[in-house]
Amino acid sequence: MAFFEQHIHAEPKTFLSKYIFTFDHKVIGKQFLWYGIFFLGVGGIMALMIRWALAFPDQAFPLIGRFMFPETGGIIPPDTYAMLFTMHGTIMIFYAITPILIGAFGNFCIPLMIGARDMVFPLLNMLSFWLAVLSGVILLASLFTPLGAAAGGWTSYPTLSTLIGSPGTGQTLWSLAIFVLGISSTMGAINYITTIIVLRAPGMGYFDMPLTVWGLWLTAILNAIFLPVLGAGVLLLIFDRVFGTQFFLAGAAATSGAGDPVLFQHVFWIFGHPEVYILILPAWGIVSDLLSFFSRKPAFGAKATALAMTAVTVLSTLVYGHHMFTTQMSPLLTQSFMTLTMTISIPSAIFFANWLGTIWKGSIRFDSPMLFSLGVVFVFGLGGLTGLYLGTVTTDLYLHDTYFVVGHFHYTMAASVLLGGFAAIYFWMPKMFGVMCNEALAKWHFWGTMLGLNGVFMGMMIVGYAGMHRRIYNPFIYEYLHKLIPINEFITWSAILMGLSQIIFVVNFVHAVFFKKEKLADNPWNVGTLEWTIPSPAPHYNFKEIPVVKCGPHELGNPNLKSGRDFQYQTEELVQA
Amino acid sequence: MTTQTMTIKQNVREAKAIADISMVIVLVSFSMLFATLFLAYVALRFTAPVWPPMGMNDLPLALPLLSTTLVVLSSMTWVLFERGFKTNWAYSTLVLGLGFMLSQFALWSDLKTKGILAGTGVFASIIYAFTWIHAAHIAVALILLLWPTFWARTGEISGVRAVRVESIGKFWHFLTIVWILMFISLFLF
Repeated sequence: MAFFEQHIHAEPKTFLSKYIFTFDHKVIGKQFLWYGIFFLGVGGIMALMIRWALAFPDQAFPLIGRFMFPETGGIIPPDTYAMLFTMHGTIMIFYAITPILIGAFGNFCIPLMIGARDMVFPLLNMLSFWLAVLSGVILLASLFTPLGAAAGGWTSYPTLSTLIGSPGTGQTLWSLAIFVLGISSTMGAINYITTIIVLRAPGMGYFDMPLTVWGLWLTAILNAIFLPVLGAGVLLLIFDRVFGTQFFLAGAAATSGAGDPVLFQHVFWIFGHPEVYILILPAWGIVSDLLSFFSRKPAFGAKATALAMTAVTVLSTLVYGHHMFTTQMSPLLTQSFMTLTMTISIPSAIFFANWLGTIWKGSIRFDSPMLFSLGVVFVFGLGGLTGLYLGTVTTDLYLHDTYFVVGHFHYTMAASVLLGGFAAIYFWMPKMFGVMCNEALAKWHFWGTMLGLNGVFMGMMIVGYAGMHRRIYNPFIYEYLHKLIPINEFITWSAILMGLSQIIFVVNFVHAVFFKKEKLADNPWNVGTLEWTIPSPAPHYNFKEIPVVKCGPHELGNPNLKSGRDFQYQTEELVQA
Repeated sequence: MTTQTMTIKQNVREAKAIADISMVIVLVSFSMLFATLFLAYVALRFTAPVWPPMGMNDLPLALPLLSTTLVVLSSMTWVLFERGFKTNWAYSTLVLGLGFMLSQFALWSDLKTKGILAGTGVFASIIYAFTWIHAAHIAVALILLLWPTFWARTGEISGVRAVRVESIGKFWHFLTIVWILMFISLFLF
């Protein structure tokens, strides 16, 4: 397996080479983590503004409203509302979740968990981060353009996103930012895939990799294949907006020949459906590992879980049409897409059952990473089940573009991934920073987040099922929505609870990283994967000696163990009876 | 047989393994970018009532043909360069590549004099957007080609550098193939 052993380079000494333009995968991982947490905050405040507008449309947004919207006395205006949900979606998907799960934990975990000293292309890794920064700057800059930021939804369908729908530069900068971020993520993906293929420690077969690495690897493969599709799509959109080409214009706007607005939808969803798995696969992998670690049991059917995730990866490339049932697609096509979509439930059910099998009769430790992992199991189960209604043509025709869709994709893509990300942060804190977060605060954070997000997203599904459109500005002006006002207010209060809970996290995290001094044991969770065989925080070269892997990552609770531990390291020979 | 493999240095074997694997991923990524463009082309062409659209019947053929010749020759000279690392073959590739860029500029100004602009219609949009994106890649690839040329001038190319030359060559050949596909689909049929 491992093709070779990397050299130990001299440790960088200057501040610039150590913390800013660093080649070290661990530091790049931390950079991505801070980047993601920053954008999580920005996107979160936007979410609260959206919720405020839906529950209290005639009241000023508290604290910062009067400062941000002085001309309306703090009330969120309708055009700003459209920008808010567009930028909220974009920021959360591309600038918060992607950097935290893939950028931070991809960079941090992959080399440590496969026994390598760094990524295979450290320079590419650094460029990937700084391109992401450039992209973030472009996106934030678009907020300050004369006609405001992009307002066509995160999917930016034409004609909302062409010059007819949004004449300002905001949409152009949005497309440019997504294009640059696409390059950055593709660079990262090339790095991850190659690293996992060539740098696994001697003795580590693919099925000896922790499932976290499996998830990240499959994600990287999807990224490398499908991000260029979005890249081409937004590039053509930029051409349409800047150079006057006519790819996505139709009818009177096109003088001869005709473009096709629906073409963008095809291109977007060919990328977009794999994208939802790009976001969720790392969380699945992390949860599959953590459930086993904190149940003190081997992961039930780990190989089946890995293969099921692979099957989902393959299937995810074939189902994009289920986002477009209402675009006058031929019934033959919609039914094919529906059938393929339903097929995804089979591998999903396999690894979901494996999760339950893993915790079944385990001696579960309810530490914060485990709480968050169990949270993922709950919200992903619920989110996945509601997907069936949207994947079925007949029900989707009614539910399309309602808040039911919003509730569904927040459960699967936002709640699951967010909880998975928090589980990962709490779990790898000791290895990243050498300290542990305060456990009591972490549990408060969990329950606040969990109650809040279920209130929000469950409420969204209810109002969506009742017929509330997903991009409505003010539900008070439609008579048929009047009965939903109390639920909308409940959702907003839940969102505020969820938002306030994140303050607990920020306080806890910042305190642990910067102000905590006590040193931890190298392996506080008693886990056997490779990153826990080295000191905490992980040293500059990771592994002085490249480890030799002799058993799988989940060897916990083996009754034959005589060492006084209930787990064994991957570098130890499997204990037999 | 075995003695021959043993003579290849460890670091060269490593570089070769990494380059071979990562170039597959890189080229798959770039292929998907261009594949999306071709998807757009196919979708727009086969849903159009008339093709080519009105006013797009007399597209220039000589200039694209010249571009094709130049870029194919440049790929060939690069193959020859990789055989013995003679500097002249690298120069030939560079000159032919630059010639390709010039022929593209000539194509654009020819289209302009014919009154075909990017906004003239969807077929014109396709021609311009595809050639722009391809030319941008060619420009980057030309800059990449400077390194092997410089290495060939200043000394021996061997070991890890030879692996890099091969990777850059793969990218160049890839762009040649993309251009041929574009030439056939946009200008011939």
